[in-house]
Amino acid sequence: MPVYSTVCPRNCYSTCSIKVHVENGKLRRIEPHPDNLATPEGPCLKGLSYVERTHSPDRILHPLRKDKNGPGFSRVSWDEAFDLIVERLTRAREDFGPQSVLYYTGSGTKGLLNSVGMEFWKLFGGCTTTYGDLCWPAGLEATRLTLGENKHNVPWDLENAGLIIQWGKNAAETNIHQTVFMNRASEKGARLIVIDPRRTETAERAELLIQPRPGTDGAIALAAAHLLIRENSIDRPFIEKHVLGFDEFEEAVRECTPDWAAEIADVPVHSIETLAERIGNSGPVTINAGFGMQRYTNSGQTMRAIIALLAITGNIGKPGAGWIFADLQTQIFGTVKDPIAFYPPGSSNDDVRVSISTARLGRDMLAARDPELSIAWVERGNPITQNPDTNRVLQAFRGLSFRIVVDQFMTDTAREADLILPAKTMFEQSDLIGAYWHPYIQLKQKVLEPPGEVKPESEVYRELALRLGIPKSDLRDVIPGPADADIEAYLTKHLAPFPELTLEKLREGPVLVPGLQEIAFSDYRFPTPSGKIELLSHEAESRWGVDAIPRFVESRESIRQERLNGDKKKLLYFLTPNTKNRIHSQFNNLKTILALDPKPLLIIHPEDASIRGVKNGSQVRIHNDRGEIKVKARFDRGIKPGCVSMTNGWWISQGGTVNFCSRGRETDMGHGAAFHDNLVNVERLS
Amino acid sequence: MSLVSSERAFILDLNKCTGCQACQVACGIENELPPGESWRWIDSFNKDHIADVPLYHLSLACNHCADPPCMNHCPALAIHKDPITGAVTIDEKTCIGCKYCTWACPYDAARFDSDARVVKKCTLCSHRLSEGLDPACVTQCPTGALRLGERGESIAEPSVAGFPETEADPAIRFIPLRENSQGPEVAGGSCEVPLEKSPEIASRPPRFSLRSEWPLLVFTLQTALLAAIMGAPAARDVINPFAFLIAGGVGAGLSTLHLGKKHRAWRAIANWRGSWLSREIILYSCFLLSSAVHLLVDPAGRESGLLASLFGFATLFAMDRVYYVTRTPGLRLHSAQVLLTGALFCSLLIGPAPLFTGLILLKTLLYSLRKIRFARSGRPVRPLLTLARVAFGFLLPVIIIQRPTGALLIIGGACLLLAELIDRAEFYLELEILSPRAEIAKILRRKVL
Repeated sequence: MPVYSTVCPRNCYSTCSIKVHVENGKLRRIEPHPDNLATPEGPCLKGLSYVERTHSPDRILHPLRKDKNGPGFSRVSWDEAFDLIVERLTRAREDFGPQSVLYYTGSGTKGLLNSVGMEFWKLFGGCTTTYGDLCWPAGLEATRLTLGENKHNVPWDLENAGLIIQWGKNAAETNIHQTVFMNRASEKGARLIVIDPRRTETAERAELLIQPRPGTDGAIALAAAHLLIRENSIDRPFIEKHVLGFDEFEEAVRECTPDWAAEIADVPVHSIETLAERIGNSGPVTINAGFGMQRYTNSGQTMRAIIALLAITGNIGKPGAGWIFADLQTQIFGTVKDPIAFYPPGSSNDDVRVSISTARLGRDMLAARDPELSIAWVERGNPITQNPDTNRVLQAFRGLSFRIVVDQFMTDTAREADLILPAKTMFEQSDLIGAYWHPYIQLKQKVLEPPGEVKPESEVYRELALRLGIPKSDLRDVIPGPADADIEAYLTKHLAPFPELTLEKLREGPVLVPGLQEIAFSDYRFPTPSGKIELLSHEAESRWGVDAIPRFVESRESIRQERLNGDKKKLLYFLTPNTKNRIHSQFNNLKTILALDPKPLLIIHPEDASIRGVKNGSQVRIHNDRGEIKVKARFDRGIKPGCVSMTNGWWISQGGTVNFCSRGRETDMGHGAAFHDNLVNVERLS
Repeated sequence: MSLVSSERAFILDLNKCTGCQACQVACGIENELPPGESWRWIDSFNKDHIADVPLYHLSLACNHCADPPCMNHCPALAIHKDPITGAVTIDEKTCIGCKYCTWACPYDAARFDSDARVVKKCTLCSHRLSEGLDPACVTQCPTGALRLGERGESIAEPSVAGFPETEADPAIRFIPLRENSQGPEVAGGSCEVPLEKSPEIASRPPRFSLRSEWPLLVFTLQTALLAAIMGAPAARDVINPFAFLIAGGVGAGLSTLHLGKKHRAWRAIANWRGSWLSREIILYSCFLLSSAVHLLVDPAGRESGLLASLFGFATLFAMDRVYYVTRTPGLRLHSAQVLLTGALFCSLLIGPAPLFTGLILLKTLLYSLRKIRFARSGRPVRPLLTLARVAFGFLLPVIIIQRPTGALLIIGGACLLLAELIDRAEFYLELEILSPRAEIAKILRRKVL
């Protein structure tokens, strides 16, 4: 049975190397690839479930056109599909200009080859596209402003930590391979503190779980800094050499007492004292911040406040210490790294109009003028369920005259399409991918022929370009041909600047990125304007209009604020975390996954439930002025009262997406989506 | 070294297992089960997050016991233990689908496959072992929490709270939670937690349902009646032989109804040396045969009648023993034991009022004590049924027995029968097949009550 080395290209920390066994043109099994030191024990259940996903009878294998009057679709030939697209695109370009076409991509499949989509649209004459990102910009920007660059120690260095703080990250579900290193550190006596409103799987092995009111982590960080400075548990020589703005920071946190923070965050004072004590006295401290915590309206400042804890204690640039948010050392193929790559360009002379904030997708689409949007092309994404404010996004999509969606399955977004194009899976075309938790460059190998009439996107774009009359010579350098050799030549060309990276080597397994710094910032070079760690950032002030020093401000949707305003409705924070069973809205249609996680549930504390007459298993209505969701309630004594939770990624057809209730709003920095600022009512349905 | 000899065992490190279920998915894929199915599963301890109790996960499948109860009790001798690998496997071509092994297994490992109509379970990936590979669940554990190792590993414990302790000597060991990983101190959560009676724990569906196993209820009660009739000379002299034998035949037929493979029913007697189920079937056959001889050939013979009634009561004895494998507490002296039921009806037919009254008192006492125990431990009591059971099974018969005339006797008998039906139905509903799930629920119930 042939065995191939490849890599899981999902938008996930682990980006596992895997070995794929192929039998009679089908995946037989997926096994661990021990060469990847970050994921040597093998992929999670989702990675294993590709055996079902790739050959699922539900896969879309042919172009489908929506029936005239109904929600159904009928199979059409590629010729008909291409003719239809060419006719629609040409007409839109003539009538309104190329910028009336929205090109929307999500994070469904990572890879270098994915960028050919934009090359097509440039050849087409332009389009409109989005800026910002749903996932992580506030944290990236906070890190960039403070440390100059987004990078961190290699994953296996974590076992050298004396204290690990998982701040809003549930690694056991979202980065299971990290728990191996956490456990190793713990075996050697390291302490683990988890800060999360939920009693997560990750919290189970911690000595302390601090459950703050959502959006108040910054206050806790500032109070911990206050204590560390007061107790003189800080690294003065480090500060003098490498930190800019300590005096201003010290001044700012003087009033941030533990009592002040405990009242804001609704946690006991002693828990903040323990946190500070542990940071001061446990040896190397690693703080790993999750992505959920930086999706609030105040979260860039929150993240800056947390990084400051490491800066003032000298926990940067050393083994076992540091700030884990994202390691972008493998972003070697582009010219600009994230988060800069997310920002709209300063001038709009380009053919490509970058004018739609991903965070406000629905509203900005509806607001687009000169020209208005008339066509959308969606690939690698499911914006109907995954972008904030689903009702608005639906309204915007339904207002267009034509929608093309490229997908493997009939997602909620695909259901809205006029034309669905069948998408390849990760096994059906080769590509190069990096990662954001470990430092490997990997080859995602083609191991199967695409089934049915599936065509990889590069092939679709090439064919479309030719049919639109774009000369073949214009395509040569930007969109590869359909043959495997063409794809390999394309990848080889991009590998050329890196002699350490060859396709031959990558075919065997993962390769460490050239120029890797295993212990991030061990050279103490911080590419900030001052060359130091900037607790005082003038760029933060000038670019984002926030205070140059990280200070605590309430998030826009805050129970405390509501209560001060005399809230009688007993609003609840609506947490919408990820689960181990899905990557956003992927995998949930598989039988393998549905057997484990069949229906969306609202997790609620019995206290919050009893005052609303909700029983374990009651049908409830979650609602606010944006929309509503109806699901069953499930009691959990581990969630902080005042918070309810439902995992994101459920399809509307499966019982409702959490984004019916979220609001399209940007984070305080980075053009991220602040959809975790989300207060809801919960009531029992009879 | 991946062969499991008697020295090797699954080693599950509770510190490492996050309950991710990759092992479960890997098992289904490796064994080409329909998507979503698996022979391995996770039973989590404290999924509801009861304060000050840690949450941990038991990744479980067949433990390939050194002394496997499933094998010992299989009436069809369809389960074998490989002397080299130690793997306990079910031969699908011999299995009759009686599900008795699913009662006997204290670890919930054997499950009836309603499509294949036989019982299936983990094979220890014997096909992989023969290639020198570990089982798929072990190979695919993304945290290294599950592996094959030595039984005698010093840090590994033979059991952990929630894992049933039995004499089967299962090939699994647990590395317990470290001192610094016993669950977090929670700061900022709630202290005032309203108590809830039964904490919900996610796991596999229950193994026994009265809805699907009702033929057993009918069969066992009817056998008690038939044995009672055969045991009472006056009754066996007046009974219509054909009616009796047809009823016995129908009972036998009913008892095969729940078999997955009815055409292999004859195999059920193969394990007469070790399985009470085999013995029950053999004794029942002897009972029918000897009853036929007595009723048709030798109706006047006292010896043939006595022999038949002896076989009848021996069948009832075996029948009660069959249920011992579930390890339900209190089964050895239970108000719904068929031996007691048979004796009760027999005494009603023969007529000694003190014996009858004594049996009624005993049964009512056992029944009431059980209900009191249930009420105390928060288990369902079903007050209306309880009332009916006591009224029909105690009050009415005791009143009626004072004037044992024909019509009253029939009414009393009918009342008794109804009471016995209720008791026996509850007996099935309350069977507690020992399993990790039941064990976890029991421990957690104690924590919140």
